[in-house]
Amino acid sequence: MNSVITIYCLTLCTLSIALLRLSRRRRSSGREIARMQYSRQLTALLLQEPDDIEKVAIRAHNARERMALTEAIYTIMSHSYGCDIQLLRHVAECNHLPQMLCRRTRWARGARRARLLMLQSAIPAAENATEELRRYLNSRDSDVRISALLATLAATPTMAIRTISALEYELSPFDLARIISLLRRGLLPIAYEPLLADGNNNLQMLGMAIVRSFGIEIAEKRLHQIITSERNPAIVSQAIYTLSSLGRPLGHTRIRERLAAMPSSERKALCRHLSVEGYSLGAVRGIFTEQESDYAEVLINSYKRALARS
Amino acid sequence: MSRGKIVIYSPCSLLAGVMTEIVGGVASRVVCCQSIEQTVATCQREEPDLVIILSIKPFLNGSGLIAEIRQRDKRRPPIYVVSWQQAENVVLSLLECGVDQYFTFPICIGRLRNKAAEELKHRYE
Repeated sequence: MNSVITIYCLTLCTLSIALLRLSRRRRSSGREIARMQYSRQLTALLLQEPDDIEKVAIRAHNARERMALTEAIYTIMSHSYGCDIQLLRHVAECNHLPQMLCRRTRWARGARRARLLMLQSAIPAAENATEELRRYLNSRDSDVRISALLATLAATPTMAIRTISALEYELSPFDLARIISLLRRGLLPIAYEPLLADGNNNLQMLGMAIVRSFGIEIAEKRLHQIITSERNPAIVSQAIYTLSSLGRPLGHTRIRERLAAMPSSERKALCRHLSVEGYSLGAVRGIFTEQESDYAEVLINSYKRALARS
Repeated sequence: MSRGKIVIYSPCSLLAGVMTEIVGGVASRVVCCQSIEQTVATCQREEPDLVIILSIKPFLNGSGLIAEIRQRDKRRPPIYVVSWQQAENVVLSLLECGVDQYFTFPICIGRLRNKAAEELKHRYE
């Protein structure tokens, strides 16, 4: 009798799981089709540049369609620049997308909350939503806090410096890369000088990331000043890496002194970086010890390097 | 009247859809492919006027992708690559491989459309 009940329960469980999977697959394929349709409609509208955006009618009728429309706007915004932001803002507001995102973010947790916040970086924030976004800026989840930071920066670009300087944690290279992507979309101003001159570590790191990303050679003098006067070894190290990414000479006396004070593991990493960046063996010998220069020589003459050069 | 065929390779169907809409107005036919084998087969069959590759991943395994695409087509279709990579050595390697244009995301959709239109116009003049 017991075995019959067990078999019955197992069959019931298997059937329920199969039905659940089927319904999920149907829902996700429906959302994908809607997302594709919306992305095509939006791209066509952006190319047409309609005179009267009030007449633009892209409607999402239910929650699934609203989410699909949000994702379509995010895809277009994150892959392009120079789009008509007013048009996208109009479409988002007509369909109450900012309110929906705020509501969902409040109830979501972890990776799902981070994803919703990331979507908010492309959808113009609802009125009074900035205060709510700021609540997540110091979340314990690193994904949530960087997504919240991006959404806040996109919502209030004029407050960017104040927002970043108020952060209670250090931005990782990955966080900086995500901020740079916002900057490349034209959502933030590219003013590296006040950032480099600021005493805040995060702002200085962001300034150097901008210099690296856009190859701003005129920032060399400012970088030398940082290397000479900065006390934080992490900032000094980043300034040296930034100079090397610009392909500038590193034989300055002050740079040598700073390098000598670095831990051996960091010196080795920098030596490896310079070899990959294409610095000559002579330049490397000028700033590293004989043993480290031999290591660089092996790297430069290695099979991989030869392949990269060919 | 729009003329010309464009083949787009993108592992992401949504991005391929956006790209189709961007260049769709300037070409008479746009084919989207989601695998590189499909892209090569489509290029050999369709003889496109422009190939747009939205990833640098197919180039990383050292295979002669460009040669395969242009194997049967003596008209040598131009190949555009659009990706997030900004590193100088990556871009130079792609151009040395035979890629004609390299664009970095984010792109200006109007500019890409005009570029594709010019390319097709140039081929049919």
